[in-house]
Amino acid sequence: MTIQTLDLNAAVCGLFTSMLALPISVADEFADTEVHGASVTGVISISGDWNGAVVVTVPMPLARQISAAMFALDADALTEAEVQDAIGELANMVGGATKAMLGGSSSVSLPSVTEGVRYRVSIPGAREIANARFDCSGYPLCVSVVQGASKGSANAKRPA
Amino acid sequence: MKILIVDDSKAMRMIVMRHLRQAGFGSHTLEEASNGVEALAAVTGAAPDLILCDWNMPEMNGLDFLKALRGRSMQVPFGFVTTESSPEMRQTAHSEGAAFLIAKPFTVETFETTLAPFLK
Repeated sequence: MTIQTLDLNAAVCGLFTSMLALPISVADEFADTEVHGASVTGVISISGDWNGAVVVTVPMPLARQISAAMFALDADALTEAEVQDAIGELANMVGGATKAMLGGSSSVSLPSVTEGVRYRVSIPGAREIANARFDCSGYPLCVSVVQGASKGSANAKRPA
Repeated sequence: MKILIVDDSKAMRMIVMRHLRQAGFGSHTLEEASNGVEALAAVTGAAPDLILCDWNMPEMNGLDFLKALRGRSMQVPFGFVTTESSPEMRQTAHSEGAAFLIAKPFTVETFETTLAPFLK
């Protein structure tokens, strides 16, 4: 079971084009998992034949743009809960697409969402097997697929 | 006609409703529920003409909601709108009585072609 970056790129770009009508393109360089500035991270765990997680991270301004597109509201009118809901759903769709690429029999978790400034999302014992970065409206959107030995559960930690 | 949209994500319910309008089904009455428990309560009084339901939800997931409906002999047309689109999941949905499964992400065209037979 492997994840091809090209497939991940196509899935994310297709999602943004078909459902959100937001401009997106694949960015060449990969992002560090360290996030600076206010950001939002959505995580979906996959368990079954394959165990791991899909982590989607966007800076807060892009999170609000994505949420505005989903809710058809002005970005300034969105509540914190609505932004978390939208990024959770975004992670859910990317996670579902990733699960389909993996094949086999697995189930996806409900999304968990973390937001804050300068934090790192870590899943103990897991290693990253795919990473893609996109440019969406001038902001980076990062997708990381991590594989763990056991059922993945993500924890957000501030650096020491 | 009345359509019940069941999804724990309000954002996704908004997207589904927008796609319904863009697919030409905006004249129908749209109702919402955020999980199977709420949906089951919503259909008890007056059954909708069509249910569009997510699979993974807290409290009661979509599959259990579908089983509960059929267990009460409620044969309302039911379709999943979900990221769960593997052949195995599709087979499970079909065998439990779902009429269709629309995989996320979806398009307006998918809504048009899939839902037209149920929304006259």
